[in-house]
Amino acid sequence: MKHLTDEQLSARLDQQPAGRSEEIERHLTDCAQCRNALAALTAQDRFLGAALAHDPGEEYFTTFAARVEDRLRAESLRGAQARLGHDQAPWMRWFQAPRRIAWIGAVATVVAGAAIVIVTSRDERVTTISALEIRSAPQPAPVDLVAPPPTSESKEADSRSQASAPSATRAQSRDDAVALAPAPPAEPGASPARMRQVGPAAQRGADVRPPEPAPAAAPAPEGQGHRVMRRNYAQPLDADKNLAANQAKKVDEAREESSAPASATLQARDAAGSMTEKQRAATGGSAPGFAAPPVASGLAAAPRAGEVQLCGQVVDPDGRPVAHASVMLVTIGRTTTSSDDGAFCLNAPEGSFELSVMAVGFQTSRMQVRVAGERSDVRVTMSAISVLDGLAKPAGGRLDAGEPMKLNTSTGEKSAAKPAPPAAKDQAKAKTPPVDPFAGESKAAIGLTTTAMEATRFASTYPTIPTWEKAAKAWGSATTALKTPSGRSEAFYRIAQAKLMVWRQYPNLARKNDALSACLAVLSGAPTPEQRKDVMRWMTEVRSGPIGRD
Amino acid sequence: MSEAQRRIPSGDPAAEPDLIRAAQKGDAAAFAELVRRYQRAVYRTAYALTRNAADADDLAQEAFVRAYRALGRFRPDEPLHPWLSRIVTNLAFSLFRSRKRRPETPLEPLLESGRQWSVDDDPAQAAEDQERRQHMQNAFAELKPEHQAVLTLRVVQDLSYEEMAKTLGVPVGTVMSRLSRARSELKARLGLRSAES
Repeated sequence: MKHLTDEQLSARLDQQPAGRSEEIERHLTDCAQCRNALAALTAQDRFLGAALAHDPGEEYFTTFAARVEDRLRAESLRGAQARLGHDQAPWMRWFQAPRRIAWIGAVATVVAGAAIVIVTSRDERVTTISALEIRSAPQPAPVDLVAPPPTSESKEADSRSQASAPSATRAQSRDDAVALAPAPPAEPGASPARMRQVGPAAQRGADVRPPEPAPAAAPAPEGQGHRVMRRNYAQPLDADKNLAANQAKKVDEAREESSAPASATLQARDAAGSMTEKQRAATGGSAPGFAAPPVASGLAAAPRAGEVQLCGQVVDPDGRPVAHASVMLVTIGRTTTSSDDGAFCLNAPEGSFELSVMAVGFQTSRMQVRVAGERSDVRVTMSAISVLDGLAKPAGGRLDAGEPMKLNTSTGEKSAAKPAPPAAKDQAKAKTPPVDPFAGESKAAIGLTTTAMEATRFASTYPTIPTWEKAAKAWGSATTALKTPSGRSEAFYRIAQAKLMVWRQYPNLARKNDALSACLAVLSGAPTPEQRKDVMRWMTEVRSGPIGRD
Repeated sequence: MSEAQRRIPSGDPAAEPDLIRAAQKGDAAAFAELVRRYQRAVYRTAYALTRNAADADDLAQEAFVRAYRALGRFRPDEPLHPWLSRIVTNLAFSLFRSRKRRPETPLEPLLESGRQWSVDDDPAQAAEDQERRQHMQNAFAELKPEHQAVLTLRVVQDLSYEEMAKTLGVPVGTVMSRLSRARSELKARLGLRSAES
């Protein structure tokens, strides 16, 4: 009797037609040897399947899509830089013209001067700030954080860079390694181009980090780039209130338009290249105009399937809206910025998350929020940082638990513009324990802390590995000046947070160890119960998370 | 995990062409949904072919990045699964090629061995399972890439012969013979390794 071939057994195992003939079945009934061979093959398959399986955990897949999105964004940025590098010769030539160098020098001087004025004025503001001032200030965020809106000039630039986008897209997609696509040959390159323009920016939906670089946008010509850049830095200089108000109006108008122009604006800024980078460095990593999103929209896109919109309003102790606060769902790394009326919306899967809200002049507020149902609303009350008097002010952001809040995004009707009823004030004072981690610190330490807070704010608006590294570094320098246990603890906590975010961006062994030792540093200090709880959770996450290569 | 669960990714398969069309038109949420549907399948393939979490993570993410870039050329009514499998398989192959020139020490055995100290009820059983798993992985690693690929698609991804043919760009007959050879090879190597130890 002729035994079954390996191929027949294999086909039989997979229930393929070639392995399902009557002849084969008859043979298997008669021949124990072939039956055993088939059984062995089946067992081998099953065991192989088990040996090759690996479950990285639910958390890994919860954040997977976001990491793909981050990578897409990073690659499109790199692509833009590469294209810029390609054109380096004419670009460099542009710089070699003496008159232009002089012009650039002049602009740089103005910008540096502006930066110094802004930086020093900010320090002053923070060191002399008092709770009273915050109460009376209509806008808690300093003027220099007001984002310059896209003007008609930049829109021109935008439309130009958009116009050249599709060709750039095609050029990029040529080097795609995936050459198989069973595709209709007539499909024009237009649809991927559109996709890319909207894609990564909108993909995270809720995050609405407004100035996402549009991946497909080609670098704008240098002249435009510089024009855009100069405006960004020069504008905060004439921080005249009327102008600011006009800007705010324009921002609102711009919000009505599609997100593409805003995206392209940043692209144009990126096109300004290393110059912009240097300027940013010169201003201590907190260049106004860049740090603040040009369209500070707090409103999220429609939630993705299976996700819920978490909306809310950030207010000061008197119930006035806090604009440009950086709002982050720490657990899943989603971020957004509050709009002029303090409103924000984020999309999140259902569950319980840590919400962290930061704003200049206020203590960072952290709270647990539950996201469930069709939409969840929260109200975040920030408390002022007291600096000069050293007296503890009502502290700790407070979640009005479960309080349903009708969020009104139209600026005309915001209830927060009215003075808060006295009862609310008393409530705020009575309810919250007096904790200011930086009370009693030196002026120098407060300055460093403010810079570090800015870096964290920036990083949570633009979460990338470098921005979070920068934040960790800034907090590292703050620890050299901080003297009180609570201040040091807060700084170490922030370092751990930044290291965690770096690890989340792209986990590898070095970052894992970094994050873990930063967490341990917090625990070995004098952490508050909240800090300890967070850090313990982070450590669990890092330990059980994916481990990358070195 | 049941066969059915493994076979069909989460979500309504009927809506998939619509999702693909939406993603092609620039609907980022639709693309994110596609990512969520196939992330487990793609990660499984990536892990099977690299047997190391770091590379699997990298490959899985990269596969979706490539898919995103090439999505405009994809016909929405085709099944997405074989296409994604092909992308991740090709990526793994190019990783193999680059590793041949510059071999690396995998971290995974260390980390895997760390795992068995933690929660297992029966340490002896766990150690034995771990050893068997390692044994199988080593035998699998000695196979030719094309044999690894065909076994992964069949055993881990549970693709049909037709889908495998589409994925690998070869006729169904070739899939059948290649799979059979891969199984024989694996059996032989497992036997060899048992004899050694």
